[in-house]
Amino acid sequence: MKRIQIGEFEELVLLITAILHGQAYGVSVMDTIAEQTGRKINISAVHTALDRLEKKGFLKSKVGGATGERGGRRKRYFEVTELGIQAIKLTRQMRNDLYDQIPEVVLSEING
Amino acid sequence: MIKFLKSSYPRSMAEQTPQPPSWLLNFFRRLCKPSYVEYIEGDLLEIHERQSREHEKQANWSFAWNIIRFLRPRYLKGPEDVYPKSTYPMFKNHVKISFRNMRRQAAYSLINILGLTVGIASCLLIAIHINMELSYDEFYEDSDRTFYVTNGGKGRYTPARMVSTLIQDYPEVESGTRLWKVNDYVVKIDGQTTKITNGLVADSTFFDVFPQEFLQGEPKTSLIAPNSMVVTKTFAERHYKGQNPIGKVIEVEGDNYTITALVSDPPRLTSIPFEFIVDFPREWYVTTGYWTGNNYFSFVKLTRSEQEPNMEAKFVDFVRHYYAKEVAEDGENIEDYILERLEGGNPFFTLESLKDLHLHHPHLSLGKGGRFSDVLILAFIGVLILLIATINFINMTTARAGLRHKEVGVRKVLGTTRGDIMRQFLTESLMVVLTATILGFALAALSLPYFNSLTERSMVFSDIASPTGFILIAILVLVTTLLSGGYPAFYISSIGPVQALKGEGPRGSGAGVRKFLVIFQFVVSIFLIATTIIVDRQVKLMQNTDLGLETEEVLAISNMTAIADKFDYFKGQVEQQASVQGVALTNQRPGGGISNWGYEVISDNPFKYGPDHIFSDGNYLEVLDLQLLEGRFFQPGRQADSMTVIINQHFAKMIGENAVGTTLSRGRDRNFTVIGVVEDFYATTVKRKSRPLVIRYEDDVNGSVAISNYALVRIKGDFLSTVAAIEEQWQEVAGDYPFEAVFLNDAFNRLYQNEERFRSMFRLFSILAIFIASLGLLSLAAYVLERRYKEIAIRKVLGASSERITSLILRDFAIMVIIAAFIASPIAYFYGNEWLKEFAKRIEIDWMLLVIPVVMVLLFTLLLVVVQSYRAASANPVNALKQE
Repeated sequence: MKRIQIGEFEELVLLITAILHGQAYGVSVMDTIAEQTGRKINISAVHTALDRLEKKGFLKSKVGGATGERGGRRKRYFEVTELGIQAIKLTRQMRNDLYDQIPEVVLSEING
Repeated sequence: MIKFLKSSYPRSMAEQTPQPPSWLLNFFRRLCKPSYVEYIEGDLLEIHERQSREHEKQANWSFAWNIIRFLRPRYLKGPEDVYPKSTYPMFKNHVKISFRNMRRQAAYSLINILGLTVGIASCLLIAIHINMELSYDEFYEDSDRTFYVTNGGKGRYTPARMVSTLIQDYPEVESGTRLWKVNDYVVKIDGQTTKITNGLVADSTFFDVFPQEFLQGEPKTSLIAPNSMVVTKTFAERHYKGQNPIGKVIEVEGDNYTITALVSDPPRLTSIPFEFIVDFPREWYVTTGYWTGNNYFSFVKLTRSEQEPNMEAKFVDFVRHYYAKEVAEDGENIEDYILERLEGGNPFFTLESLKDLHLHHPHLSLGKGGRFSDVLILAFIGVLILLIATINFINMTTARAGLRHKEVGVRKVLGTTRGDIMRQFLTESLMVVLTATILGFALAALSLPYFNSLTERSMVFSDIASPTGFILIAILVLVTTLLSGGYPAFYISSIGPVQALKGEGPRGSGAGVRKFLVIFQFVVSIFLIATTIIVDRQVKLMQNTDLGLETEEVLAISNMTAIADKFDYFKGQVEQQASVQGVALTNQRPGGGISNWGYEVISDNPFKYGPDHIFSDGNYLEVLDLQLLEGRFFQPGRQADSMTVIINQHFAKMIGENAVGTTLSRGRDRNFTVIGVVEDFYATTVKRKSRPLVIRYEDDVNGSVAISNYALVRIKGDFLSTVAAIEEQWQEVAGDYPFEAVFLNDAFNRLYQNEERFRSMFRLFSILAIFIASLGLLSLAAYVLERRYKEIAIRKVLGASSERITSLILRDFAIMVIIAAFIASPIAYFYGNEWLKEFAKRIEIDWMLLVIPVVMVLLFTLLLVVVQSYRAASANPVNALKQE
């Protein structure tokens, strides 16, 4: 099994990017993270994560969509790659596997 | 630079998007990696715009903070963004293109490279030659306090006891040695008879004065024992291959010598070359000798070099002290003796530094002498050649580059930076220069044998590949590259693409400069041709001058003082040979040095003068075949003749009418009567003016007034056997004493050997310079024609004939030649005369001589240009005009 290691934050960004499905770029990801998790992340952190994910091959980027607010500057959109999807699935799988192994007893205690 | 287009997003005046401080933006832009800049800025602005709807101030602070957050290594500019893109890969690309360009313009590149190669090779050879000439005798550490003792400033020989007495009497004289030069000895090595040459006879102190590297044996003791010999490695290899020569006995001219030491070969660049050294025989003429007999080369080493002038002053007292006895024996007062000598203006003895020997006193060198003025002139030519070659090269390169303006324009449109174009041009020129340099080295190495024969040297490749050579070349490469690549690099690269593509060349394409450079080359060529002719003619003149005396058949034997008492016997023996026509005794050899003595002419108009002076016996006239004009010559045996003199025509003219019978006085009742006048002859080199001459009678080797050291023997018939016989007779009388004899014509020729050598070198390098210049001319002609390609075509279409076109182009060149002629001729005239001043008999530089080079250059130019022009002019004009 291929070891896929990404940090917690990177995983978050990866998931959000997948959710945004073609609309993911710096600001949109940042906003969505704030919506979904309440975490206010600095734009630079988002950019960095996106960049790293792309370098690792989980995302690919393309350029487009200049607007007035941006003074005509284009956006860099990110999309999840095959590898990225694999990574998402694998991680989820792993989490679920681990979750499934937790004895009932512990889980019921948590719920309380 | 990324251009940001103003978006077409509609907005009303009231809703102008507030902008963050632009300085922040600029700050960030300057630091951020180009590939990220746009997207990051975009996001930042978007956020700012959003935030500024609520809190404008806050938005700005956030903006600033965000920017700070983006200052990470990931986003900052790295070295690859800051430094020029032209790294090593780019350089490789430049190089590749350079060679492609070279191949494309093959003909031009070839000529260019050829010219530069020849220039570099010549310059290299000359530079090394000069360097060698200047570094003679550097091997000896104390060369600055080692001196040659000359006799009267020019004379090579000094008395036997000179060195030892100097050491004894003067504390500042630390050490010294005497030398004889051995031409050859007949020896027996291990039973085999052979000849050895290139040796010295020296005192045991030789190695104190000229320290050598001892491989075996001890310096101090090697020449102490009688019949010792020190040999060099070369000698050992040749005669004792594989064996140890130490201790071996070698029979030299009948005596057994023991080899006591082995030294490394003395350096090539030395005034004291040798392959072996033997000690002096223990004869009286070595240990004691006469003070008035001068037969030894003497060298001394002072404790400090600054003492030299003091020493020279002390010589007068020296002479007074030591010479008194012998001078008195001859019936003369020592004070008179001293006075006479000093009146003539000649010092007794002088000290000449070892370092100056090779170039400034070549006749004193025991090796081959050089000449300082020659070195200077060669240096000058070397520089000239280099100048022409590089100027040519630069000229041509820049000219060709000018034609590439279209290429530059296209490349600029494609996005090449000006910097890159500059680097391209520089690299191209660097490649060519390097190629030429490598070839130049190769050429220099290949032509070494020829050059060696020319300069009578034996240079080896390692001389060229020396550090000096490399440094020189490195500087040259740098300068040439910068100059030749610089102009196109800086100037042409500045063309705007539009201008270039429109077809306009760069403004002010430097045609004026080019013309100037071409004229300069013409000037140099004309100058060199003219001076070569001058040198040529002068040397020929010297060699063919009628000397006024017989030289081919006269053998001059020196060292008569060694056999003083037995001279008459020797003379008798020699005369007995059928082929010997006469033997004369004289104090100075024709073709050697000469002294002058003062006389007062007692006549109607008395005057004092110091004519040249020779002592001779009665046979002088016949032996040398001089022409007697008036009166008579000395008669051998006539005692009264000791108060008579013969004068030459020149002096006779000075005296006026009736020279015969005039009295010449040397004061105090020493009156001499003129009994005869001879036609002028060259007693010494033709380089000196013909001077008045007085011949006095002397038939005793150790005469009362002068030592006659030379016997002149007239030989008709078989020279070789006669000389051999004479040598035997000499040895019968003189034993081991070296037999030094030379034919007068050889002696005279040797005077001009330097000139001859100089002439050859001068000629060679002039030819080379001219060759290079013509290469330049060739390529220039081609270039000019190419530029005027269209013009020619149009003219043709309008009806001009090929000839007319050709003559048009020719006229331009011809004018340049004429201008050059007017510049070059006066210069050639001036410097030619300066050089000729050294020679008494010299050629005249007439206008004919100055015209010849101009005509030659003109014709040559004609040839080169015509051939090219005609071809261009005859071409189909359609081809030229089609080219658009």
